[in-house]
Amino acid sequence: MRSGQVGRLREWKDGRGLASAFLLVVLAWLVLPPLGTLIVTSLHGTTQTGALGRFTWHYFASVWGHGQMGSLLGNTLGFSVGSSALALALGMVEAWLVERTDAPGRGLLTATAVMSLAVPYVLYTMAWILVLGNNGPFNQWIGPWFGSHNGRWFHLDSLPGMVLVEGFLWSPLVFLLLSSVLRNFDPRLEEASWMAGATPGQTVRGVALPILLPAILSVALLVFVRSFQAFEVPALVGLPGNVSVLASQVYVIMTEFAPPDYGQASAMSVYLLIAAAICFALYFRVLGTAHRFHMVSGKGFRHQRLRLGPWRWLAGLFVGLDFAVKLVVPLGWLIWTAVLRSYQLPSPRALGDLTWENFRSALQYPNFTSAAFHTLVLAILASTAIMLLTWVAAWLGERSRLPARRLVDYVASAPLAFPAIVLGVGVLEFYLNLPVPIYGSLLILLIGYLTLFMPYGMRYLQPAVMHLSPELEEAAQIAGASPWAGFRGVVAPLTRSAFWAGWLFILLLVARELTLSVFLVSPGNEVVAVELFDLWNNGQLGQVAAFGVIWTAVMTAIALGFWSLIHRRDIELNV
Amino acid sequence: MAETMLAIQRLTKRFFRRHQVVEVIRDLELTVEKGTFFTLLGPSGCGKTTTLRCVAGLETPDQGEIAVGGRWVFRDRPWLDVPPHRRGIGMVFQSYAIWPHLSVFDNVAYPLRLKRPRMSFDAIRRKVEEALATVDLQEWTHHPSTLLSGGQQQRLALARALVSEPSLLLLDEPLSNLDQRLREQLRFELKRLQREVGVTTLYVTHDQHEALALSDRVGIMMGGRLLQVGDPETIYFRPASPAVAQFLGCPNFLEGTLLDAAPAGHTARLQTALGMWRGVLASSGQRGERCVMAVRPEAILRLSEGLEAEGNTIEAKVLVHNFLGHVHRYQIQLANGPIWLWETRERLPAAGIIGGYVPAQEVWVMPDSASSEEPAAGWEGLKGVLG
Repeated sequence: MRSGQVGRLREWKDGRGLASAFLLVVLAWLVLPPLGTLIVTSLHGTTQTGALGRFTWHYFASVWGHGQMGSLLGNTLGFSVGSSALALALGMVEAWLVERTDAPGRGLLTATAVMSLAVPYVLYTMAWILVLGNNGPFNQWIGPWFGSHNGRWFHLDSLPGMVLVEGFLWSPLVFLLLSSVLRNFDPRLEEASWMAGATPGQTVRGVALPILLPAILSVALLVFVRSFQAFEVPALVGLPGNVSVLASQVYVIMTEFAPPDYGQASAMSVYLLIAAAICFALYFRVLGTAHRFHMVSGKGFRHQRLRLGPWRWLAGLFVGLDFAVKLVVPLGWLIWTAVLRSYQLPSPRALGDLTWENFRSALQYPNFTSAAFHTLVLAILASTAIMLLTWVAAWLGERSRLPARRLVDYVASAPLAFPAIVLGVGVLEFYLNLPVPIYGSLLILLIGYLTLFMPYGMRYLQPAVMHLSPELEEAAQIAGASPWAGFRGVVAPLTRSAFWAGWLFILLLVARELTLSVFLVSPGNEVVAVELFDLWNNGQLGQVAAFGVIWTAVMTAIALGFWSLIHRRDIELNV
Repeated sequence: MAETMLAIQRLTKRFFRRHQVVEVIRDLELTVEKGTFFTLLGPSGCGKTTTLRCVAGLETPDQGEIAVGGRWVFRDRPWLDVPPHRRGIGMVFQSYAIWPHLSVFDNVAYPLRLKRPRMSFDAIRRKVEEALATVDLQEWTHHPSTLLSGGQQQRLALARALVSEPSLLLLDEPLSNLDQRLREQLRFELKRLQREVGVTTLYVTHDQHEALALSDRVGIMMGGRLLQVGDPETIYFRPASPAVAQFLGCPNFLEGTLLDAAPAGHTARLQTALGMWRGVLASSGQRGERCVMAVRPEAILRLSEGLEAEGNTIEAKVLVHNFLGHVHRYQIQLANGPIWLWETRERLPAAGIIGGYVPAQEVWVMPDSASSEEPAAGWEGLKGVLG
């Protein structure tokens, strides 16, 4: 069609074509080499010298041997179904209580959720191990009541234990996502149902639930696929109890022997990648339906809160318990651990053992200070680069007519389906074999973070640009602005809050990233989460806890800034 | 002869819609003279906004030539396509497109700040204040633009479009987002302003009242073509085809056969289902030719009882009555079938047969062929809107 061609001609002339091409090259460079290396290695394996071996299906086939794959798949499925079901159940009740009822203390749940954005998962998992593990208060104090005196009343290092911790880990985000779904639900739809003579119960069943179902389902799928790829809980909780899932098995293969069996790890990664890709394809299908049902009028609905009456105090009890279990207990226990000379349960004697020593030594420990510095630098570099690239990408994707725009969108969103552990293996394999000495530097981490978190930049900026009326930009062109001047003068200022929201969010993501970093870190480019993970494995509880508390305090400030920004500017949360 | 400010030739624009090509504009020819207020009037989807956007440079035509102020801005052969920001045109968008992150002052100053060579700060301030004074917004100069009401935003958009003294002003349904009362008030203001500034204006609307009230010339557009161009009175009283007549609020048609041969503008007799009628011919007609007569709802007079007219009479029953304030509007059923509209200041009886009659000079006779050219959608789709 001619008009298409001529529109493109203009875009090549004013440089938008060149910009698209540049973006495509950068994105492709980030995504394709690790992916390609992963697939090639899974089909060849490596020899002792690191060179590729001969073509073989051996690695794909061998994981099925000895019934190992069967139990891996079973564990993975059980783990992700269980934890996403728990997270969904908790999050749904919380969202309903906060958004639609007059339950007392609702703000506490929001506070818990915002805090959860700040605490590194690895730290949160450790806190839970301290509380629910063999030497924790749960087993030591409550166990004896039920006749168990060996501290093995509740086995945390089992599938149910993993499900519990992962479910707790995810429920705050489910709560935040479902809250916004409930907030954007037009109450007039419910009112219309009441006016048609339906009871509140019938209204929920006949109108509210069917309309909200796609949105709820999409949240469920997202949590499912995320726990499918989760690494922290399987590694810290599962591995000590010999419960392996796909993600932790990749880690085991990669760290068991030196040099690791790259073929085996790659084949396992490819399996994981395929499973994740299928889940994400499903997720986007459901999300499409959810958006079709989405009430565009979006903001400022005033919902009638359900008066709980006598049930109000029961709801309050739930809120208080939820707040205590998900925030106060784990964080409190972490602080308790941090101020002790040696780890012990609270007792009058333990009070004599209190000390600031852990904080002092954590701040003086060179690995911690350099890890904190590295993490902050990487976080700022990665989020700035991602947001700037995706700003232009989202704009071109929405406004340009070049065929490349779709491709840019796909390539930038593809890493969403990459489990971090898989990307870690891929990046490691590719850059290890590159003659450029990039392995062991901060640059390799930066490349990894750029790839892993690029989709989040798109997810914050794309809706912002999409909701901007094209007429605002056309008015700038009519006023004499070139397309780029229009972007600087109109599009950029009007999507600024989405830019900063995404920037802060990626900052938080990088600050707590463990899974990808664990493969790419070597002495010299250590980062916070990996340092915590290593010290935990060395058993330096007091220092880990002290440093974790300091780090959490810093991240909480950032999380609060992020939260107030998306709250004030009505930006949709993407996790 | 007056200077031509806008010339469009052979303009064609196609879109892909649901895997098929739709020709939104077909071979459009149009000239607008300097200082004229020209309105493109047509139903939604007729291509009028696309035409406007092609002139602005926001759409790229598939074919044709567009010249603004004697300078090509688009030409298919040899290829020339001036981007919007170099066309020197002012435009007011349907949504006004007021930039919410800029103050009232900055919105108007934006086009001036982009000018090269750069304008001095003082010159910009003077110009902006002048423009804001023209639209009576000087008190709001330093307010955030988001505080303005709909009518004020519309005036701000106008000031922004006029501040760089464009040779051509494009207005895309600028009144359609306002409520009825404000719209009528702004109609006066818009016309006064255009006279004062003297800028050549291309206006797009689907509201025939707006078009008639504002324009020096009106072009009726349907199905991607211009059906008729003329001054508002000609368009209203002398429509070129039934489609045009219907779009301008005349749904009353009657078919007939010419009994006389007569030149255009003369009265002739016709044989119709309602008996013998007389009317004014739109074009010269031959005896025996099939014609369509249009009768404006307000042209029908009540035939008092006992009085008799020779031809041009109707016998009707009232179906529905709307009281509009300045007139009563009735939907009436004629004796032999067709349903017409009748507007009168009289209160008609709700029951019984009412006699009416139409003076011959109010009956506009168009050749039947004029209707066969029309796109079916324009013809059928409008019955619902106007009836």
